[in-house]
Amino acid sequence: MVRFGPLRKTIMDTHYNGPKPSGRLEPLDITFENKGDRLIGLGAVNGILKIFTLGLYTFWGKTEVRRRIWSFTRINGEPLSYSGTGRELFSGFAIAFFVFILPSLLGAIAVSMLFAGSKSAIVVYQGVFYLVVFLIIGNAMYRAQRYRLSRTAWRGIHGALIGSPQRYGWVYFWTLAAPIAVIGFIAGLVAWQASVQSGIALALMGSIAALWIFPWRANKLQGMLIGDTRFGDRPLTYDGTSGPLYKRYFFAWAGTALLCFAGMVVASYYALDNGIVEKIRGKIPLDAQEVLAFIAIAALTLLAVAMVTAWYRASQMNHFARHTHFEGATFRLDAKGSSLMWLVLSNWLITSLGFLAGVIMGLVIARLASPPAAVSSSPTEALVLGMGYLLPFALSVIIWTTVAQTFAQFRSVRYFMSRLKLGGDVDLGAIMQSQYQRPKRGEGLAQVFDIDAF
Amino acid sequence: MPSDPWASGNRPTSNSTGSYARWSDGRTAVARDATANLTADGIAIALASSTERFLWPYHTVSAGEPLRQHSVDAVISSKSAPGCTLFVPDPKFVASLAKLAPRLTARAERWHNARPWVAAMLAVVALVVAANVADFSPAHALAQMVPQSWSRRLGDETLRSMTEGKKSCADPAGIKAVETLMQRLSKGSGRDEPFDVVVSDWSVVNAFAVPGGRIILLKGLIDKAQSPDELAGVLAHEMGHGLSLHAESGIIRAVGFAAAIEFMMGGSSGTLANLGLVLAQLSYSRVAEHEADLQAIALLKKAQISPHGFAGFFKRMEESERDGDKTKGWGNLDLLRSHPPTAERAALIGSQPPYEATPALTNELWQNLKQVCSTTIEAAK
Repeated sequence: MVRFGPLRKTIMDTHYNGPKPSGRLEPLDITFENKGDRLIGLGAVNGILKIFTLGLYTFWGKTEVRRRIWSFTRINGEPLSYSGTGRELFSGFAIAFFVFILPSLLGAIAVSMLFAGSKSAIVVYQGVFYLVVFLIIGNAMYRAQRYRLSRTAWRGIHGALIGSPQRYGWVYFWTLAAPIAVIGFIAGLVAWQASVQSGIALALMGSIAALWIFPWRANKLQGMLIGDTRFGDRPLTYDGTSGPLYKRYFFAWAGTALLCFAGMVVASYYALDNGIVEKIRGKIPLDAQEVLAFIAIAALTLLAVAMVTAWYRASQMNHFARHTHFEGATFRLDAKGSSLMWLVLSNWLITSLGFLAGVIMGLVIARLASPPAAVSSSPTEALVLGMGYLLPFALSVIIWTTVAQTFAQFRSVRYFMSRLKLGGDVDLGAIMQSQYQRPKRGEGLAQVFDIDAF
Repeated sequence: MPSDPWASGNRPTSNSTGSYARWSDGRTAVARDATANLTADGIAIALASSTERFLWPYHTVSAGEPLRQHSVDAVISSKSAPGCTLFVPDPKFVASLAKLAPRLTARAERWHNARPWVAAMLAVVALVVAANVADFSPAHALAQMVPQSWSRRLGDETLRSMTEGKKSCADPAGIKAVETLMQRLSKGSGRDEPFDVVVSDWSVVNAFAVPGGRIILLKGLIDKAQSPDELAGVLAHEMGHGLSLHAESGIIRAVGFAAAIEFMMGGSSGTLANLGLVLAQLSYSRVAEHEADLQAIALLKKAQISPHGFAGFFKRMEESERDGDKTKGWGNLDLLRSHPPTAERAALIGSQPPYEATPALTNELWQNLKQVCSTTIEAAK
């Protein structure tokens, strides 16, 4: 990417009769319009258009949702505007598809044909594929963020992300790959020299210990993203260190370990008490009550772990905001473990129930719409018959899921934006328009990997 | 309370001269108070505390968010003044603007964006219908171009994975009987290489055609067959699949569908796409079964074997299946079954003019064939 230096000087040289840097400081108040109901109709319309365009409207639908959600976010009462287009998202995706997805699909077919019968060839191919994905995923995330920021404006002043996606992608990769490689190497050495069991034990313990890199890694990646962010020509700065994160991380880490251990203890106790070990040895199927008991134990453990994790994640988000500065003002986020947990849980419920409702309604409609029993094998008739079932079903599922996903997306943005504040005053007259080059296409690979959350 | 900047007293009183607005020049993040008026020529903007006036013709303006009935405000920009934005927090202004510049409304934008794709989809549907009417299958056309050696290789792979862990039946007299039957059926096939039949020691009642002119015949089907004519019918049906390259076209079609759906769904949820894929495959498979039936009837006729064993076998199978069927209640979801209904097949065979036929195998050979699984060997790896 071509990097442009700030062109402040050039702007000031031109004839300019607008307000000059006044030195007048004013507060910036971030608010969020809580009008989620406005998105339900939009979700339904997008769902219908998706079907009648064989899914291709997705990119334009996504764009309209963004335009609406962006405009819910207000700074001093004036909305953010999103100027991306469906065409940009579409072309980004099309390129990612033809450069990455199609070749990897054809490669998989070629490998399985050329090395017919060799399972290891396919395993190697898959391994290489996932490694490549892992190598470029950070890059894709950075590009997605760069696109969104470049299309976000307030009072006509654009955002920008001016760093190198390659650099970010590389840090994203090695901060995980390096510990895995080191642990793998040492564990392999031990397994080879001493015993396989001790190698496995070492790998397991090493992996648990390696989790300790996460706060440092998250802080580093956040620092890179924020440090590269511009609003107009002015930078955001990040001065967070990972040290303060570790206290909470210790409790989250130890809490997770303890909870998993406790879950296992309860499960074993239950198993011993009810003679389940003997049942499994004798290959006697467990009855429903016993299976339910295990599911309940697992679900409760997972829920408790999710609470501990949410508690840490909320504090990490707050930490990130607290150390993000703009023009001498500092951000503040008021996220709490309980509310974050509820957000994740309720969004999961909304999307799952939306899908379920779509399937149920779809089945009912398909049943009502089912044509009479007379069946012919002519291709055209088979096709028409197929559409008779598929269309009502697909309509119902796609509309319900699109509405649910749109609403969940709105709730995520609301959670963040309604808790975000900027403390301190800013001289708006000193913020000049961004002169950085803007990407031409949307978040291609990020859409392919489904990580373009917003 | 800083949330409403106009509450602090700097908001000019709205009057008949226009709507209150905030104007930014796009060079800095400062906004200035302004008045916006909708005139016949465009949006007229007057800056407060200045004599500056702008006119943005309607065909040059765009809105930050598409205008809707419920819109309470709008961020407007214009090609005639790049970078400048106008924020008008006035529902009446927005409603009037929607009337004067209808292309800014959500409805107009959606239609504008979706129209090319709706047209493209109609064209695709028209092409599919035309291809069906003309009886042209792109997958089949491609399958004919695949070299025989590739098909064989693919067939080997399919054979290997399908018979994994199963033994092959290898009684020499039984194999000889199978070969005799296949030679008789192959006479009319017009194919240089004969079909290979692999008999697998597996109690399921089925037979498959795999790429490269191979047929897998399962022991369960031999056990269930009551006459050589029945077995001949099933084998002729599978040969029909092989001659029409159904397995090859099926693979090509599956890859094509998968790629197309991956593309259309834009990386979004694949659940529904997979369902569509299965349904599409099934509808093709119904067509393929019908084609294989037609081929089978022709092969049986050339081999002078009666087609009634063929029809009878499927009828018996369906009856025994129905007795054990507990999944009724979803009505006639015939589409969800890959094979055409037996009644239809019986009607097809009944409509053929009768011809002279002899039993497919002598009684001695038939008894040998029935015993083909008395000797088994490990399937080739």
